[in-house]
Amino acid sequence: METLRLVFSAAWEILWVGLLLGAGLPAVFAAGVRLLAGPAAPVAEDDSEVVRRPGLPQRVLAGVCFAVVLYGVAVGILIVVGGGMGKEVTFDHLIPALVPKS
Amino acid sequence: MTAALLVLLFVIATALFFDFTNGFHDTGNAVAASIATGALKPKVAVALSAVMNLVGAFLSVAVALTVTNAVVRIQGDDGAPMPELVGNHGHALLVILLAGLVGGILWNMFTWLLGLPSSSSHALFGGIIGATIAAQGWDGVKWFGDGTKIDGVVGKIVMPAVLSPVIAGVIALTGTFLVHRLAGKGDPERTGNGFRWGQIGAASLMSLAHGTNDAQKTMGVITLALIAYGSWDDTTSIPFWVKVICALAIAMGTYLGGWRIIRTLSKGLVDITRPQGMAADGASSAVILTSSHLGFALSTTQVASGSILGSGVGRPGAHVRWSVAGRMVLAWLLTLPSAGVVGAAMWVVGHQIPGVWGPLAVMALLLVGAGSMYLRSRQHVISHHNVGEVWDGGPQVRKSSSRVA
Repeated sequence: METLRLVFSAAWEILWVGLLLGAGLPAVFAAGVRLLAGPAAPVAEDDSEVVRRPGLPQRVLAGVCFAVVLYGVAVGILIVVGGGMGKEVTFDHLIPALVPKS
Repeated sequence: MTAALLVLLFVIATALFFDFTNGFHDTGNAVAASIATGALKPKVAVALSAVMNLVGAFLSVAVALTVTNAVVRIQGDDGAPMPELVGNHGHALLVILLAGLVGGILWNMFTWLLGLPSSSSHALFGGIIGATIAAQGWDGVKWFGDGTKIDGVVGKIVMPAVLSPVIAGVIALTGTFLVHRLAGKGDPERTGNGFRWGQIGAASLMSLAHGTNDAQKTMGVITLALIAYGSWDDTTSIPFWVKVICALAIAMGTYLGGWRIIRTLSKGLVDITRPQGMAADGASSAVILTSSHLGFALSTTQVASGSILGSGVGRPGAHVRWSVAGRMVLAWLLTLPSAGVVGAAMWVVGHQIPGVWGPLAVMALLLVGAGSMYLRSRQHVISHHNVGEVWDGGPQVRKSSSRVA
């Protein structure tokens, strides 16, 4: 029974962290992609599409989105590398660091 | 060459063979969505995944030798074999490992033949559990942990198998819904490239994690065999050559590409759009890394399949083929017992036939079994040429449709 309790508490934790990272980061990435793609192109009268480039605010915002995703990817790589070295990752003040497994 | 050395070589060869099947069985987890959406060409996708697996395998600096400790009692707490199993150059332990590995390989080949993604780790543990039960009785297996940490067959295999697809599915469903809401109205021509890079990044990350996690298991098994035989005595490190051959075996398996399984994951479950593929891959990577970070490692295969299914449920208008999903879930349920039964049968053969003839008979059975399944697969070849054909009721590509393409 104790095992089941441990399993469910771990699974619950994975679900929430996973939702934040696994659904959140792709959504942030999608927002970045959408911002860079510019506003939906209206069809001009002669049927040719008017290509509108994204403005500076959109590009800056997109940059922030991609930076957030890249941070997530960097943490992911650190977890893999740390796992290979038998270490774990801690997050003091959001800065990930490798420490020996407790 | 002595008989004992021959048995050791058999164990090393089957461990590498298992590692190789582990590679091609799991390629689809990382690359199926990228292939489905055309983010990567099939050959490029498997090559990328193979390289990342190779790098990942070499990242395994601290390899835990206690691979089997979670489920059976054939090793002590420090990873050294149980003293009663090491007599006569570890013959008793080597036969258990050999039988267990053969159980894992044959189940992996069988599910590959049917194009069903199932967990390679569960197949390996299933085989070893079966062989251990045959050798030591039911007491040789740890069904539950001692309550201080997640352990035992129930904690490490059964519960994760039930929970991981659900967790991954819910996350991918949410992610796909959000991604489609945010970017769905964008011009696909201009957003497509962004999602393509998102997919490539997620697939690479998954392959890297796979290389470290899965190759380590084989490295641990081979080193355990070497200790039992008496040619290695350090329980805190592994021989460098073991690392090299295991890394190469899993990378070559990955590059071969389990096209039958890739086909089921990329075309069989649901048709995948680019934003959806990125959401599914993102969910899989996050769940795999989070779970291993939290010390509750989930099966990559079940996470990836759950994500792809969930992404289908989350995209409005997507048509999920639940019959294919049902077959897949059935394969997951059968993996542990089936590999276990084969492992147990192989142990009986390897143990009852005296001397080196027992292990030799096991090797012969492995070759016959694996060879016949390979020949059977040649009747309906699925390769990088036809992996993306329209799904028409089953994994087989109809002659007519491949001619059109």
